Amino acid sequence: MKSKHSSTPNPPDEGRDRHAVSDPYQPYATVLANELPDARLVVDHFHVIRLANAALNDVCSRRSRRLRQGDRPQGKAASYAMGRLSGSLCDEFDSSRRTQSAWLDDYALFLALKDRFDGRAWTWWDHDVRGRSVEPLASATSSLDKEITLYSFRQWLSSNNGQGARRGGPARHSPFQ
Amino acid sequence: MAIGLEESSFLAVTGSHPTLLVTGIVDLDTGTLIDVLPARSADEIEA
Repeated sequence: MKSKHSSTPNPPDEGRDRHAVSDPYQPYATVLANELPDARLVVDHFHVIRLANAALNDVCSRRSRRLRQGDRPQGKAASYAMGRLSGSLCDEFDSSRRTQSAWLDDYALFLALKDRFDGRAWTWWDHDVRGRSVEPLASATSSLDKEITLYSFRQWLSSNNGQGARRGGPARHSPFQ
Repeated sequence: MAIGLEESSFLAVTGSHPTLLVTGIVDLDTGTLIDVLPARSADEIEA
C-alpha cells in the first residue's frame, strides 16, 4: 500500500503506537492486517452505532414475528368471519372501505407488506417497494390482495366495536356480540 | 502514527454506470490525504 503520488519516504515510526482506522469492511481489515500487522485497528464510531442498530432491529423483528405467530388464531377468526359475511353486512363493509380508502388502503397495504418482509422495519424492505416505485408497488398490491382485504376487514371490525363502546353499548353488527 | 482507510462515493450513479466508489488513505496525524485508489478490494489496494 504505497502512495502513487508521494515522493517523500515515510517518516520513521519505530517505538510509536500505530493506529489504523477504517470502517468494519473486511477487505480493509485484511489490507491493514497485512500491511500494518502491529497497528491497533480502530473502528469508527458511526459504523459501530449503525451495526448495533441493525442487530437491535433484527432482535425486534424476531420478537415481532413471534408475537404475530401468537396472533394467528385471531387472524384466522377474522378470515373465517369475513368469508361468512353476507348481505347488508357485506355491503356495509364495502361501503366503509370505499369511504375510508384515502388512508385505509395504504394502511392495509403497509401491514401486508410488513408481514411479507417478516416484520422488519420499512427501511429494510426492498428498495423499489420502500421507495414506492409504481410498478413494484402495483405488483405487491395485486399479489397481497387477500391480505389487504383481511387487514381492512379487521380494521372495520375494530372500528365498529370502538364506535359501539363510545355509544355506551355493544357494537352494531359486530360478529363479536 | 495513525492511518485511515475509508470509502467515498466518487461518481454518482447514472444510466451508464453504477455509483463509483474509491478508497481514500489518510494520514490522521497531519490530516493529509495520502492517496485515492479507484478500488475497494484487498488485492487491488495492496497492489
